[in-house]
Amino acid sequence: MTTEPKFIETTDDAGRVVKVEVVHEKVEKKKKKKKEEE
Amino acid sequence: MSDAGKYSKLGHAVLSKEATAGTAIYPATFFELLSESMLPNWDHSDSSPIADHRSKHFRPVKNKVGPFVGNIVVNVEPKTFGHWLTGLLGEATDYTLEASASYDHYFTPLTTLETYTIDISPADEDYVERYFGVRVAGVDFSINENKLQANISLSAQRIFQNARVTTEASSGTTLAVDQTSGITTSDTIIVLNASTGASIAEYTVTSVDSETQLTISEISDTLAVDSIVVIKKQTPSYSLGSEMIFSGGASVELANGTNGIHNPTAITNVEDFKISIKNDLEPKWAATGADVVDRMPSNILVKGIEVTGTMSNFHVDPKYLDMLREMEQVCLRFKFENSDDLNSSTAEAASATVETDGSDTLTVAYDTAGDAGNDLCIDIVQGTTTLSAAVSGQVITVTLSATPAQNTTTLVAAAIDGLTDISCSDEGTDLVTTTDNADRIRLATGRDAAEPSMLQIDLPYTVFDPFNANMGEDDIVMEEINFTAYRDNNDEHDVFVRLRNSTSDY
Repeated sequence: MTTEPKFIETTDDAGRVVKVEVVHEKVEKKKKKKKEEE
Repeated sequence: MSDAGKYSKLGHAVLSKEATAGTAIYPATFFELLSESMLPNWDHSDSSPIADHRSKHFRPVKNKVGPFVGNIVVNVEPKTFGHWLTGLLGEATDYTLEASASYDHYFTPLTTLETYTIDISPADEDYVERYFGVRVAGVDFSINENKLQANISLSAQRIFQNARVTTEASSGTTLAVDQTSGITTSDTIIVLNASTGASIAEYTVTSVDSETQLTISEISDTLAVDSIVVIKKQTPSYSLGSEMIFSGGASVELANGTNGIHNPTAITNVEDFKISIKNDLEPKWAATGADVVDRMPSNILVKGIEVTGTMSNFHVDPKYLDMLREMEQVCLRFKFENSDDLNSSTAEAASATVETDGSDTLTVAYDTAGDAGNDLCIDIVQGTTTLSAAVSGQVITVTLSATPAQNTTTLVAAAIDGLTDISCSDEGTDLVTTTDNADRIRLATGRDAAEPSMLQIDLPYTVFDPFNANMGEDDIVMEEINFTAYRDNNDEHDVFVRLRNSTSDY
């Protein structure tokens, strides 16, 4: 099972990016969902 | 005929950093001074036994001597002052802003202090008193007629004031004396008649054979026992910057709270200030032999450092009194820029390297070129969930993932790079760890297109001592605020001094 990093940005009132969080999503789960939809 | 030979302004002083503490070297950096009060304390003690007399001072005995302490007062100029900072705080971290033009030196208190050899020539005399193993015990900064002055307290482990010839010599190259410590092979010595003080001859030093023997150039005069040997002075040559001044050349900045020193705000009501940085030193004597030099300290050990100060301002509002009441962390910056143009031609962005363990690195840079980016810093901390990068004020915090494999330089760089105004690039896929980045990392080498010399004193965590805005008849209400500097646990020091000039290192 592999994962892919996803970057989640937080901005302040002025629209400046003040935080970037790196979450890792499991790639296999996404593929399974696609098959189920088909 | 009348001359100015005894006039103090004809004197000079010169210093150099020693390679080994307490071993003199031939000093090379001439500096200007306003006064000196060094004291060679050739002390004696009483031996006053009960022996059928009533004299309280019966017989003198040679006491141990040293450390040879005193003060040197200078106007602060950016070139030679780096040596005093090196003695006070330890060796700087040096940054090249532009090769052969502009350099930054970052000083923080280290546990190892550098020692110096200092020659002082009294008035127009031909000889010098040489102090070696000199420690800087403290520096007091103050303003005198708008000039920034430093009163430098010195503690010298040893001195070569003079030696005596112990065996008559009239030929050959061997000279027996009672002290050679302090003499180098670059020196020329002058031998004086012990009775008249008149010069007999000068000789260059070929080698220092032992504590009691020199090899010198060919002896062609009779050098009687007890003739006085002194070190010949050099011909001064100065390389100096302009004096730092207060009004018209300095700014005072203040912030309160954690990490405020990285983003302070200029305040405009400070009329005067003093900062005192003191090293606690402890001389040690031991039984090291029977020569003159063995009466001097065998070592001078370093203990604590203490930083205090005073700020004088006219009263504006009660906010400083509120900071006093709450014992708030007050961050103070005193920044002096003089008129010396360092000829840097282009602005550059500040940057820093993270994960410098030799494998792969991250390069973090502020997007805007200029000196202001040097206030940014990076903290690498261990988290318990995911990897993240955040910026607050001028502090970038990288919180590492609880899963080590997710803390690659690539991912950390991408997270930092996503922050506004910050860029980050990476090399390789090494893992970023708190072990490799235990301390706060400060961005450096940012510069403006045209920069003058600069001295910046940062006190990241001061606390105000009790004061009030008291009134007197026909007076402006003033606030004389004494403060004590504490160690800031984020920046990990009590004081940070930044010196920018055209000198590459010290």
